[in-house]
Amino acid sequence: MKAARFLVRALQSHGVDVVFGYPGGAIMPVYDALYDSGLRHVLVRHEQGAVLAADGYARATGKVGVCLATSGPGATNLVTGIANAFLDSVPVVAITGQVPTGLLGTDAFQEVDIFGMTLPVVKHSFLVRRAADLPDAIAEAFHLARSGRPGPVLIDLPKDVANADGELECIAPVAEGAGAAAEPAALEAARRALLLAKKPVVYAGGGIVLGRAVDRFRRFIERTRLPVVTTLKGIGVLPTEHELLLGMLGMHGGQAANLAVQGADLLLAVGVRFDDRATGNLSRFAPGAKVVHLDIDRAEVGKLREADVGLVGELGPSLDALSSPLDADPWRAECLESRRRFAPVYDAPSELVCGPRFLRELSRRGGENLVVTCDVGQHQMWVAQHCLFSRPEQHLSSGGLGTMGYGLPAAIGAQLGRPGALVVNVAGDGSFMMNLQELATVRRYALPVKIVLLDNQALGLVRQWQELFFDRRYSEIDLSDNPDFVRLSESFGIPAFALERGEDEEDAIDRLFEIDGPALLHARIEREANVWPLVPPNHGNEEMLLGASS
Amino acid sequence: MRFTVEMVLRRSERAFERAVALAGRRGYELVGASAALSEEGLTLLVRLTLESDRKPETLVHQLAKLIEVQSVRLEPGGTLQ
Repeated sequence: MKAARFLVRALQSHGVDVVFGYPGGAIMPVYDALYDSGLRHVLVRHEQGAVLAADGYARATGKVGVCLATSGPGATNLVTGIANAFLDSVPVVAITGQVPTGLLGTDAFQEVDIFGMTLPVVKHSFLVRRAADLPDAIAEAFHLARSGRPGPVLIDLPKDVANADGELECIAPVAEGAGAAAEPAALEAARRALLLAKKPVVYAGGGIVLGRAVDRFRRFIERTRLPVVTTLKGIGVLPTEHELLLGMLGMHGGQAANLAVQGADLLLAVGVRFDDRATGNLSRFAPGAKVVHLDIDRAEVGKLREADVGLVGELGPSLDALSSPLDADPWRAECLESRRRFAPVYDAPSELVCGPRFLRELSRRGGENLVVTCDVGQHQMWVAQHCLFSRPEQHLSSGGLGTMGYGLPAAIGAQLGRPGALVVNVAGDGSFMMNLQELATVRRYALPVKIVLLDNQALGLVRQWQELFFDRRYSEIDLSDNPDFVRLSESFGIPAFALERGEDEEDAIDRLFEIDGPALLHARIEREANVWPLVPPNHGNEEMLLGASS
Repeated sequence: MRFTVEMVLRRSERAFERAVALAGRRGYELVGASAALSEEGLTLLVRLTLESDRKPETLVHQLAKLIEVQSVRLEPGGTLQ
């Protein structure tokens, strides 16, 4: 059997039901093997679309996303998406064609050192120099991508290796065993710290999702009754309207969340990495708090903020071990009063669409079947601040890398992974233009993805920063020559309509959801609309600018 | 601060490069290195001398995550202020 055919069979044996890709010279043996394999291939229109779709598929399903590209530019076009998966710890296996082994290192046509280029942004990588090494590489790639702290793995496959014949046998997928809780002594120290705390806050992140510990986290919260703040990637670990959830913390976090953390005497950090967008000025973050840091990745504990108690282990069993009722009633009441006091209201006078209000209503009407994929910018923050989510898999957002253009390909992946879900890509006009070629993919596969394009004819978040921190010197943020997005969408065969007035928001959402198949809603929003609150750079999180937020 | 890290790496595609690049990327300047194949030829024995104002232990934890790294430790007594 040719190695390329073996590769396809091995993917199938690892449970892969769809791959996203784009063919080219060096990957042609694999595409030939795909031809009659029965493995579904989704042809994107740019390799970045393939890897971001694989990312969206992985986040929406919890399975490994797989993408294919050829050597040279095909491979380099994957790099942003691989980095995106790395920064957000998403299990993706990227398979690239490569020039034949005899030509490696000779600057051959479409040769780039993708193995070397991606070293900083992969969990691991393989350059398969012999067909006999392929079974191990595939098995290890899938195991590594999803085990421990997940991440992307690259398999670079030279063309002569893909064409080689061999007696290759598939290695069975490695069963993922249950990981162990943190060390008992550390857990005991954490329990003592929690018992002594008068103002404890749980700082919850995406690690809870990656560790498949959402249900156990919820049990832990119900038992301890601790107030919770989340990171961007932690959104959904508790339902948005859960009584103990104070909201997202950080640069665009809510007042209740940020003030609770800044006033806490103990921070139980669960599956977080003290990212700068969450902490603001690190030296001023939670200044009076002892830190109990629980993570599966030992390298994260103490990396940025020294932990008074470091807990390295699987999150679920560790949380179980910490789970006992705590007496923090006065503090909890103070936090919940703060949550009530600072809850957003949606009464801003506006003839145009109000992004926060519109998105809140969109998520309310979408319900628990909704999956929102965001691009990057103001709309992304409004989604995080205002949408209602029941589960983290409903909110797909490029957190670590902040990849504009993420949303549409991720929606494609999410929709293919969860065919029954109501998948909505919330995009900005800047981000949308970065991967809009994937409208053709949506159309080709008749994916019922809905696109909500919030158009302020500017790079809104950059404009906001220039307004606030660069004396309104608006440098290269104008997008007033945008195309007519409705006609553009229709040219791809995707129905579209415009929403102009705030009073029509609810009707437009209903109309969008009633369309059978893909559709685009183009909503004009105010150019000067800003995201509030905002913690200025290098400030403490208690120093929020509130702008026009109420 | 200058310190030395000792590692045993599984011999695999560009394992040494991966470890050295990680150190540089994480803010640790390489000021000395040595590497030798073990007798059986399956592992690389590596010593890296590095300078940084960041904690050595943080780098050790990062290196330990590399798939090729079979063991890693700070050289005893090798830390210089």
